Amino acid sequence: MDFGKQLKEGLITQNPVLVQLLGMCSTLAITTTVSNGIGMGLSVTAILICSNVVISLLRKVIPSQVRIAAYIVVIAGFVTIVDLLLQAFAQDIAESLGVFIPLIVVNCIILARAESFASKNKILPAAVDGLCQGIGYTLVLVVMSAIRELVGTGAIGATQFFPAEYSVMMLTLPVGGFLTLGFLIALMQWAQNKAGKGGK
Amino acid sequence: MSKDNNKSTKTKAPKEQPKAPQAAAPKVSLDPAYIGRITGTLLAICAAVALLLGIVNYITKPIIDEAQAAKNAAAMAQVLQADEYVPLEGELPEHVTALYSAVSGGETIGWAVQTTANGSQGPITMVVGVDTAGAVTGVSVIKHSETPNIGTKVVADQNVLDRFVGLTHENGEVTINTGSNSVDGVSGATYSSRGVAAGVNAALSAVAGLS
Repeated sequence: MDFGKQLKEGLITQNPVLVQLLGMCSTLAITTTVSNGIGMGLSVTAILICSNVVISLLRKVIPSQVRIAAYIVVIAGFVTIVDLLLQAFAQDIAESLGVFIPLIVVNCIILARAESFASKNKILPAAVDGLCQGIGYTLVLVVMSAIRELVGTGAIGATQFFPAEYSVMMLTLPVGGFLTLGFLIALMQWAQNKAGKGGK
Repeated sequence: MSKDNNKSTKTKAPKEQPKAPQAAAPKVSLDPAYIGRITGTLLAICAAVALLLGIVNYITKPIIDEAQAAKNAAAMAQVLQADEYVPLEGELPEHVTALYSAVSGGETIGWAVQTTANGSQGPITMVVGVDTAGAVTGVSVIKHSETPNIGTKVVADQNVLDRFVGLTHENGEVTINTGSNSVDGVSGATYSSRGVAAGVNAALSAVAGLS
């Protein structure tokens, strides 16, 4: 296994959001504040690592005919655990993320990594894959929510960078999510094309 | 004739081909060992996950309940300060999820009504304090899913929520911006404002139904 390669895949060449275009729904919905983005990113990363490890562990036990059902049960179990833990110990985040925590169950990133990576690899690479993909997802969420929160409200958290009157409120709306995501994907494509040409 | 026969066999042949695996499929899936292995594995995974969830729930439930109760108590104390809050039994009106009479020094000084009304993005749960004269003493939102920076200008801004203080049921339904018994809404957050107004109305009519 190659940690550097997996990290590069998670962050850039196979970034779950910007390249694989997985988990768009939660990405668009929760990236209104940076704290939401971090909370969601870390929750997904934790669940991704856990489910990848367990599915890799059970990859020889689970019959291929019922593998999707088995994956969903494992993922749903971890999501519920994270949901309960957040409600008990991080209520502010649990409240602002609301229904999007239970919806991680059907987040394509987790199922896609279970199917395409964890079910074919040993435990350690699977855990590393979960970590790297999770970091990639978290990073995109943080960048997106930072752009939307800063331009949309003029502040990040409690720090006001410019007066709220000059902010573009549209960016905090769903429309702003689509716009920001579109620009980030375009930027990613441009950067990758440029890097590819330079390499050749 | 012979040509026709040839044709019919030709057309039949491809039809029969997909039939063969179809006939074989039930044979495999009816094998008890195969069924047992599949269901057994799924059952074992589900049982293990269920056990784990049970343990986590056992640990976190008291903490979650306690936090929720503390939040409710804080909200009730904020809208109507009293020594104790006695839950009222009986059937609750629509939109009302809990009804407490606020008792101070052995006397009922008002009611704390927990109501749920539809905002812009989902239900808004709030506690509305109503005094014995039937006037609103305070509104506190305990749960909502309104849009950050838009709906939250209503539900998370105590100054806006305090605009409802003093309204009564006698003057008719509480409305936003227009009407005899209206409060100023927040522009851009009309549905969130109306949601809070609906919750206040439900609380006022529930208390009016009591006395």
